[in-house]
Amino acid sequence: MTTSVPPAAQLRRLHPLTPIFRSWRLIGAGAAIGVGAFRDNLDQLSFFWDVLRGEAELSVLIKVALVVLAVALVAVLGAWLSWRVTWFAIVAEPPGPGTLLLHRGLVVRQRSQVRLSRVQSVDVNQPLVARLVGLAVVRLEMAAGDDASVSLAYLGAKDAWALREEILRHTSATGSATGLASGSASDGDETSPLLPQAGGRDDVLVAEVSTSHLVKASLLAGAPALLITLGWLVGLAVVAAVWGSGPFVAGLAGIVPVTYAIVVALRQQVAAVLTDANFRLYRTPAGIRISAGLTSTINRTIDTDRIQGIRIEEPLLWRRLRWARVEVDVAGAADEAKAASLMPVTTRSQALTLVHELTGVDLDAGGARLPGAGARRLDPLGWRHLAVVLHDHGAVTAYGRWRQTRFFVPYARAQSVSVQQGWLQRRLNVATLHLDMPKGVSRWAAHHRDVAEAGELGDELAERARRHRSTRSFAPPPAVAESGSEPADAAHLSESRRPLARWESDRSER
Amino acid sequence: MIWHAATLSGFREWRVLARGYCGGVRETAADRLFVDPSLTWERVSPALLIERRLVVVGPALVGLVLLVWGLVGLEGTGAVVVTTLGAVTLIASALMWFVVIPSMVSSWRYAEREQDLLVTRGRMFRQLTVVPYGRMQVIEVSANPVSRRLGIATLTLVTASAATDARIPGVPADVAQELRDRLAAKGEAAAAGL
Repeated sequence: MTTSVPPAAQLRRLHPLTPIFRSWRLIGAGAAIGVGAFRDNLDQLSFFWDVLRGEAELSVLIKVALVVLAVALVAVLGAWLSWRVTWFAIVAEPPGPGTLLLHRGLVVRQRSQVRLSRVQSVDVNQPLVARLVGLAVVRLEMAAGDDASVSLAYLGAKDAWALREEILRHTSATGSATGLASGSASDGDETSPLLPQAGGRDDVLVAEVSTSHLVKASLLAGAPALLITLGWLVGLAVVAAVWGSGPFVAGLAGIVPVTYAIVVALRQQVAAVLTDANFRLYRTPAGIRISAGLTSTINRTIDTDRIQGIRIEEPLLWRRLRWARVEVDVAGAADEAKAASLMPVTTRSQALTLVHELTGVDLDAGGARLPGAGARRLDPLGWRHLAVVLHDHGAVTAYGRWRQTRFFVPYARAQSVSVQQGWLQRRLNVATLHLDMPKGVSRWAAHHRDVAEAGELGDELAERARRHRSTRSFAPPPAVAESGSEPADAAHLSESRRPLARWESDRSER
Repeated sequence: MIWHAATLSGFREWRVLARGYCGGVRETAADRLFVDPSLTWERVSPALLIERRLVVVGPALVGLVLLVWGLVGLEGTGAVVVTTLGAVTLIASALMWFVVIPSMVSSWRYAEREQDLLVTRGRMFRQLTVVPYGRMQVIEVSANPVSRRLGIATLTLVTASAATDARIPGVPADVAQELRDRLAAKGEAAAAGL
C-alpha cells in the first residue's frame, strides 16, 4: 500500500468556499471582540441612530470596521492556508482494497489513511447553512466508532454524491476481493448487486414517510408519558388548592423537575420529528440509503452486511393502528441513536416485510419459546410479551409491555454468550441469557428463562454462534438447509423488488 | 510462604462459614447451570482473598482511628455521637465485607472447553460468560503491586463486544502466563473476523 503522495492528478481539494464557511464563526468572534473593544461608545443604542444620521464620530466607526476587517482577513487567510494544504485522494491498487488518503493541518500536519474496506457507512449530510449554498459534508463511519470517523467538509453537493458513489464502489469491491461476496460475479445475475452504477441513479425508492404521519405517530408515541406527567402536575395543583400552600410548596420540589422533564421530552420529540421529516428509504446497489431531515439533511448509506441488529418497536398507542417503527444497529454508530432509525413509522406489515427483506427472517413467525412460570411473578406486567425465537441464522427476542419490541441479531456477529441470575431470579429459578454483540449494537437478552431451559438455550446459542462464526451477518451456514423459512419470501417480494440481502445471491451459488 | 499458609487456612475456615451465609453449597439446578459438573473447573488462587481483604482493611483502620478519636479526643456530646456512629458504620460494613469476601472469591471459576472458555462468578448475582476462542481479540494479563507480591495476576479476555465480561482475577502468575499462551494459540486457530 502506498503511503507516499500520489500523483498530482489524483489529489483532490475541498470546495473553495470551505475557508469562508470554516471561518465564519471566527469572523463572528472577531466582530464581537471589535464591538466589545469600543463598547464605551457603542453601549447606547442612540449610537446607531447617530451613525445612520451621519452624526457619529466617524473615527470610532472606522476603528471598529478596521478591527473587524483585520480579524476577518486573518481568519480567512488562515482558513485559506489550511484549505491549501488540505487534500485527499483515493488510491486503489486494483486487486486490493482502496485507501482514502487525507492530508490536513497547517501547523500540525496530519495525514490519515482510511482503508475503504473498513468503512461502515458513507453519509452525505447538509447542515442548514451549507445547504443554502449547495455544499455538503461527506462522512465516513468506521467500525471503531466516533473517534475514527472521517468528515470531508465541505464539498459541492454534486461532488459529494460522486465521491460517495466512488467510495461505495470500493467498499463493495473489497467484498469480492476478500472472497466474502464472491458469489455475485459468477452468479449470472444480470444486475450484480455489488457493483453500483455511478450517480446514485440506481437507487430505488422503497418507502417514504409523510410529515403529517410522522407528527401523528410521534404524538401518539409520546402521549401516555405526557398525560401521566400532566396528570401529576394537575394533581399537585389540586393538592395546593385544597390544602393551601403548605403541601404545594412541598410539591414544588416535584413540579420543577417534572416540568423540566416534560420540556426536555417535548424538545426531543420535536428534534426527532425534524431529523426524521421527509424520510425516504432507498434501495441502493450496495445496501440501503436513508435520506431525511427538515432543516439539515442527512444521507446515510448502510451496507446490508454491516447491519448487526434490527428491531421493530410498537409503542402502546400505535398497536391498535398497527403501526410500527424499524431500527437497525450498525457496529460503530453507537452515538447516533437517530441515525439508527430505518423507518420512523410505517404499517406493521410493511415493517415486517422490510425486516424480512433485509434479514430473511419473519419476525411474526411461530415457534416462540415462552418464559417460565417464574417470569410471571418477577415481571407480572411484561411477562406476556417475553418470547424467544431461534431462526436459522439469527435469534429474535421479544419484550416490552409499553413498547413492544422484537429484536433480531445474527448469530454470526455474537461475540460471547452469558447467563446472569440475580438473587430474586435465583429464588424463582429463572435466569437471563445474553448474546454480547459488538460495540454499537444493543445486547440481545432473553429475560427470565427457566433455569433448566436456560442451560439448553445457552448451549444452543453458543453452538449456533460457533457454527455461523465464519459466515457473514445474515448468511445461513453452508451446512444448514434453508428450506424452512423460504416459501414466505415470495409473498413479500414483488418481481421488481430485488431482495436486499446479498446472501440471496450467495446462496444460489452454494 | 507465610502469606500462603495463612491464606489457605483462612480460606477454608471462611468458606465453611460462608456456606451458612450464602447457601453456596446446596446444589440446585441453577448451580448446574452456572457450574456444569461435567467440566473440570479451575478455582482462582486463595491469595486473591488477601488482596480483596486488604482493600477492606484500610477503611476498617480508618474507622478504628475515628472511633478512638471520637471517644477519647473529642468533647461535646453531638460531635462524639456523630463520629462514633460514623466509625461504627465504617467498621461494621468493613467487617461485613470481610465475611462475605471468601464466598465471593471462591465463586470465581473458569473452565476450558474445546471451543470456548467459561468464566463463572458471583453468589448473590451469578454470572456465566462463554467466550469462544475465535472471538478473543486481546488477552491481557495484569497485576498491581499487591497482586504481584502475592504472585497472582488478572487475566482479561477482550472481544469486539463491550458487554463481554470475561475477567479472571487471582490466577497464579505462572498459570496466567501459560493460560494466556494457550488461549492465544487456540484463538489463532479458531480466529474469525468481526
